Amino acid sequence: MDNSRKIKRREFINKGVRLGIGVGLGALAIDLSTRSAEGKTIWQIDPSKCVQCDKCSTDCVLDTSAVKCIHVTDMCGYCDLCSGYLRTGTKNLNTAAENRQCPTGAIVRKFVEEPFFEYTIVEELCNGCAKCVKSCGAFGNGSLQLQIQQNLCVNCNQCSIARVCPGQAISRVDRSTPYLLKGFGGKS
Amino acid sequence: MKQKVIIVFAVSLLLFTVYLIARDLFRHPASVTQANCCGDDYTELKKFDTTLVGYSKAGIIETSLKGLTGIAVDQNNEIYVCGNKIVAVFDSAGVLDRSFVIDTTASCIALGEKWIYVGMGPAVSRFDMAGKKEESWDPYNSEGYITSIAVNGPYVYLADAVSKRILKYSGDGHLEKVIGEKDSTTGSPGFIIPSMYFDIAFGAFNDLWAVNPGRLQVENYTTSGYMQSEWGKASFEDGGFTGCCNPAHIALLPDGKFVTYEKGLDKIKVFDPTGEFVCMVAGAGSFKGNTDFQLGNNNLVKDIATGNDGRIYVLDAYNQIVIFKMKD
Amino acid sequence: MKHKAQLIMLIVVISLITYNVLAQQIQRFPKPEFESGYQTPLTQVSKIQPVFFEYLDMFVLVGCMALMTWLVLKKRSRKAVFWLTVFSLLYFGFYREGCICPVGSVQNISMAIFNPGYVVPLTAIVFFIVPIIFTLFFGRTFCAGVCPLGAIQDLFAVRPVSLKPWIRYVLGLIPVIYLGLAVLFSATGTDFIVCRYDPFISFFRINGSSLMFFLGAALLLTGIFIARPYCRFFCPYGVILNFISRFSRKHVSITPSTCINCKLCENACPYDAIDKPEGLSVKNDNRELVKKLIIYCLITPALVVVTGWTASKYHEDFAEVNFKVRLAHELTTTGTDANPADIPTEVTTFRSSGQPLEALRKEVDKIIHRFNIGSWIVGGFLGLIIGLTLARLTIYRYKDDYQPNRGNCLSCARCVDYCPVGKEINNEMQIVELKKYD
Repeated sequence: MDNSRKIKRREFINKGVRLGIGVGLGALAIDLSTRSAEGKTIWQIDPSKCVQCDKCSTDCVLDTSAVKCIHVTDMCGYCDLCSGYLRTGTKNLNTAAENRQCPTGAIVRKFVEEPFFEYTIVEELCNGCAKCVKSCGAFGNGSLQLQIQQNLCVNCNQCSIARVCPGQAISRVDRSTPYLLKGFGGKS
Repeated sequence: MKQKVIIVFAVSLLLFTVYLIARDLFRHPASVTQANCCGDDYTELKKFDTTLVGYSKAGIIETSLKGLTGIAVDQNNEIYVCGNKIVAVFDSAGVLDRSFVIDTTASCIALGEKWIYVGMGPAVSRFDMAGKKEESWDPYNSEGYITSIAVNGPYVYLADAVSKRILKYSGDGHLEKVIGEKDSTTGSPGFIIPSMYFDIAFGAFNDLWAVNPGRLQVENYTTSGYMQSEWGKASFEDGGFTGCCNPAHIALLPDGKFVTYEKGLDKIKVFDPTGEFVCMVAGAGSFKGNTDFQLGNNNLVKDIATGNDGRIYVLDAYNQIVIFKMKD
Repeated sequence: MKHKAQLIMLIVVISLITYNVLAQQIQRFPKPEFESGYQTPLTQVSKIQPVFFEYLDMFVLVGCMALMTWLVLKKRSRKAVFWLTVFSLLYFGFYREGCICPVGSVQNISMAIFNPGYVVPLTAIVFFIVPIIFTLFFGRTFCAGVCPLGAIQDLFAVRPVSLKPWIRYVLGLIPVIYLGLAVLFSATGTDFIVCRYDPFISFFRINGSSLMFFLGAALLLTGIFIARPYCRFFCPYGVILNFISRFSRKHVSITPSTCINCKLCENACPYDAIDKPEGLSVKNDNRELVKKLIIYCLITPALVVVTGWTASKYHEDFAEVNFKVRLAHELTTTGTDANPADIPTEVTTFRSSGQPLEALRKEVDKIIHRFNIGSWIVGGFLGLIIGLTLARLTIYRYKDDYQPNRGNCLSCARCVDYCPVGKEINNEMQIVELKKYD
């Protein structure tokens, strides 16, 4: 008799706690999911905060970083002496290998017509080191920008590059604006 | 016994992982600095031989205005600045004389005998000396962008960076000539304008000097559009211009010499009329601001102008006017 | 009709004017004049991954949870649980590379509660709530084999040793601290430490830093002897499930009906989660135990204050993990006339961004204050758990059969195979499963 009463009391407490936890969780879920309707769920770099520090190439959890340099062709001047392609301060102004900015050779230069050249980036070779971004931004138009390629990014809960970025340039963005390119689409 | 050894070993391994996590979490690695980071060091390129400096700072005027983009100096050494919806005039002592409001942001300013010409987007507007708007001229190209204005007698020349042409207007707003089309008869190679920097100025012999930034040279045109000469070369030496589009701004001194501003390395140099390097005026260290990193458009100098006393007036990115005079 | 036309004209004119004004304010780049008719290529960006996979994850989670619960509670088949464990490891672990997982979702939820501006992804909410709901009703079936971290450890528990209770209680404080720190760091928007030190993700991605690989290898090696070390002595989500499981409506039981005290299951559990029967003889020391209970109940508040105060002593060290706090610190210690080559990159970036130092300092003060309060709470929570554990040890509950400990049992169903109730014993003295028993 004593035991069965104890068991009934325990069952009652258990039921009460279950109800309490259930209601609490329900309220929490509803509150948070109304917020989650906005869906800022993918990572992206803001080029206006990027300082081209090279951590993008070393800190991504993937072997080859998901951060790649993107060429915003609308902004490019198609210059012969492209500062993103050629290193600055070199003795001779030619396109010899030691005078090129990109350490992996990911920027390809093609002659269009006098004096314009087209520059394209081979994505497989780009490692996200931002050397070209820095010099294009400093001496040129800034048409080379680092961005997280969304088809490569595994969308970690906490971006490990975002944690160490000196300019705090990486943050979550909405799926409808997966890329934040400066000067592209009318943004200055 | 064996059981105990295993337990001790396993628990120690577990506690060791706790220690490793705690150590990684609370010990912070040394920060990345410029010294141990990557890429070319532009601070070295921005330096120059101080024995080459021929000018010294004569003064700084704090305008307390915001968003200034252009500067011009008249014969009385009054300084006109234009910017975000404002044109202001300072006297040579740096005191604000007068100012007036304009509709939009001005991109450049030039002074005629009786008029102030302010470039606003694709068109130019003319104001009288009191600030009353006299008229706005129709733009040559509705998508154009006027980056520089030069006045010669009754004619007004506009440099349109988008159209890549210099437009010659008469005093009544009538477009007389379009200069700068690539044409073998005029000798013009065509203007290569990779970014919105396209500066023009008038020389002592009534000849029009225009920067061809994509070719890194300064070209000389007659008022009817024939190219007579050019100077300038691409080089990292003092006598050349760096980057893709330089010099970003030029101004002419009364003796015919050129003052050039090179963006990127932020160097102001003086060249003689044949294109020979004369001396340095100032470098990045003389101006407020840090351009080691790309955080937006961060050229330290917005525009330059010269006075008829040979002084150089520099409008910097922090809305200050820095005045240089020749060293004795 | 006329008015409508006029209105439309007005709208058209206004939109043209606004377009013009806007066009002037945008900085454009003059396109080169190409004579050869060259067309500038469009900027190439890759497409974002379809959101389908995130929804698929949620469905698979619910499906696996339901299946696992049924296998553990109704079907009672260790073999089936094993194969579902393998599937979970392959799907949630190697295929989805272990992210997002419920263990990490605690941080997302905690960050959302304390930062109104933060938006939690729907998957994080689902991954947090679904295992808790199932645990509330059926016990820790999530831990059984749906969690990829648990799955990989479960497969490595080949030579488990039994740990003495006091060792288990002491080591069991580590996940409490871990939970506290995880909530503290995520609530202040500092870091997701659970994700950062996820030991097995380097194996799932086959990629990672040497620290990550070492953590994983060390825990798997430990896991050969101390079964499921991360689950029992690290997992912050496990603290929550442990608590909730105690109130579960149904729970896995070793026997399908009544326990016959044959003691065959005594050493069945690699996780020391089976409670043995407590004899009546112990009941005589009731008064002593009541005295001890009262003492522990009185000590607990003092303990809470002591641990809370101790933790708050370190609140500045905790705060240093936050980027902004470190930045403010560096800005104070780095003078403006230092050699430019030796100034940390963050400092130069901040100084050239034009942001006022005072605003940063104010924000950092707020963050440090939050860390102070948070440290008190985390320390106090630890003290509370210690006090309650001590108090609970004195509570005597008469038990006459073998039951899984509701809090610690991970519902792996290993013990089920050991129980002979409802099964036949064949000639070789082996327990054979009866096909039809209910």
